[in-house]
Amino acid sequence: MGSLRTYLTVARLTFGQYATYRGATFAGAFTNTVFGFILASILRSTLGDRRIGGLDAATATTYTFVAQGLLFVVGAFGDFGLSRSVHSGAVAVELTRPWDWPTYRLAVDLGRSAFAIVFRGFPPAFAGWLVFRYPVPAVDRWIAFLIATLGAVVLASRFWTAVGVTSFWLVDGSGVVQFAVVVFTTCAGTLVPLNLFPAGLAEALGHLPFAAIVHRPIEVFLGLQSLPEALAYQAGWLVVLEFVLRREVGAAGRKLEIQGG
Amino acid sequence: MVEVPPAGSGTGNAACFDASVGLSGRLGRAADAYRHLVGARMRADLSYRTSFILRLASGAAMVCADYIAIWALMATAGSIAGWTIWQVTFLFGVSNVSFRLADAFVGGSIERVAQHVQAGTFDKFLTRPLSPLVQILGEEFAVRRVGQFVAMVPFAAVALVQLDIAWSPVTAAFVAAVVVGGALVSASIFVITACVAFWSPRTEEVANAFTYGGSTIAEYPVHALASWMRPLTFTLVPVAYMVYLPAFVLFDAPNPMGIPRWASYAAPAAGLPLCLLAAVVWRFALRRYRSTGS
Repeated sequence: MGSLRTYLTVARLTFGQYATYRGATFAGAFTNTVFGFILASILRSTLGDRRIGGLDAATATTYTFVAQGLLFVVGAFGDFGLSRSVHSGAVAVELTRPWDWPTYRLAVDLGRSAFAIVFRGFPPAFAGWLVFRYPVPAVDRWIAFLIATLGAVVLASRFWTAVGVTSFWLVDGSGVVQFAVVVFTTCAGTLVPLNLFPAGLAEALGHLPFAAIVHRPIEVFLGLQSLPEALAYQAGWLVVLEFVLRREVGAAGRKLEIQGG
Repeated sequence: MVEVPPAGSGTGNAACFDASVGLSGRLGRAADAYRHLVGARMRADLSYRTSFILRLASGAAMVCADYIAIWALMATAGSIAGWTIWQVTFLFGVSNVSFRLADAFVGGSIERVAQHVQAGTFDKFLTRPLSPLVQILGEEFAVRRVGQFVAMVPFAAVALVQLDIAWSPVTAAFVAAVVVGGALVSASIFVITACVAFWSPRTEEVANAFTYGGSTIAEYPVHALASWMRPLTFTLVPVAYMVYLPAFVLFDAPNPMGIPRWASYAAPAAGLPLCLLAAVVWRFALRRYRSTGS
């Protein structure tokens, strides 16, 4: 269902939609930069000359700024829009069009992410580099990182869509989305790198999808884990979330009632 | 907070600012209206009971999750800039009690100014015979954010018990002053940054860098920040006055940055001039406001 051309158009239009909100983009990038400065500076003074979980003060700074750059790219602030459109019924229009709805959601997320990498991800990371001169790897690891980030975006799209679809069974689904945001930000390593968690906890969290979305791509960037390892975790969780999402969408489609008038 | 007559106030305002009604009368009316607005908001929110409880719980979980990151870091690193786990927990708990108090009563509602300005619905606040600030604080009161405040109290309480503090009535009064002073500092930052909406649309997220960014800074000792950032916490984002400075009185320790003890005693009073500044900025922003007219 739906041609590749349709999805590409959706992605391109979403990119354009975000490009029109220049003020919001600037404000968001500014906020990510400020948080990067705060968190990096705390980690640097805490680590001092020490190395914990493979990170020293310099690489922890890299981790922090890459994480701040990734936040909006992987939608870490939650997709409240989907929850609202289920609530208002506007989602019915999307669901009944001749395309595969989850693929349409992915196209939207890919368009948003492409915009976010350039205008929300790069500026905070660059500002952080200007101030802290943190280490950055050679070109090959940049490419590996971009591939892992693409995997993260696909996985994140499945996750947030699966979370948003639960709104079909709730009067107001934003509570669930809010809860998912809390779990995501805590378990993904966005505040404090997972490397700095107690070893057992870090390992446990490393197996979860949230780590596959934020922590693993950053470790690929830092050369702390291989690209195939990160991709394997992403693929594994993608299979699980794909199954959950398809079941959900099937059930939601049967529940959907469109009232004319 | 402060009564602010809007620019070009209509005849409706005459009743509220009638010279024959004294200041106490006006404040009484404002308090009365505020109570009614908050009551209406609470009844509206509670009509979706399950969703309301979920929001309350997720708000509480969110603020507790912040502590997981700090705890994890302390568990592996041992200390942050020489401060022990209970000293850092004290900073986290008390600064968040203040901040979440301000967030529940001021932040959650004042943030909505941006949406109202964009949608053109801000005008309605100017046509009613009551301070626009009181109206927006009442009408948009975020009940669920009270859950975040409540969730922070145990952190502050446990840290206060664990720390070796010489308790006396004076110490207790000082801790109370720290909480109130910190809430006033946070509330001022909320009001001032919310005014950005009157100048530039869709940039309300800049406010987050100062409000939530400020609260994140307040969770850590200022001397743990990069040296160029430290002065900013006394000026641009004045969160050092909230808990960090007063903490040295309670810890009875010298400040590693050489700040004298009297400054630590005086710090809780910093909320008062900041509130005045917030009132001036809010008044100025309202004068500047031009409706979209649509």
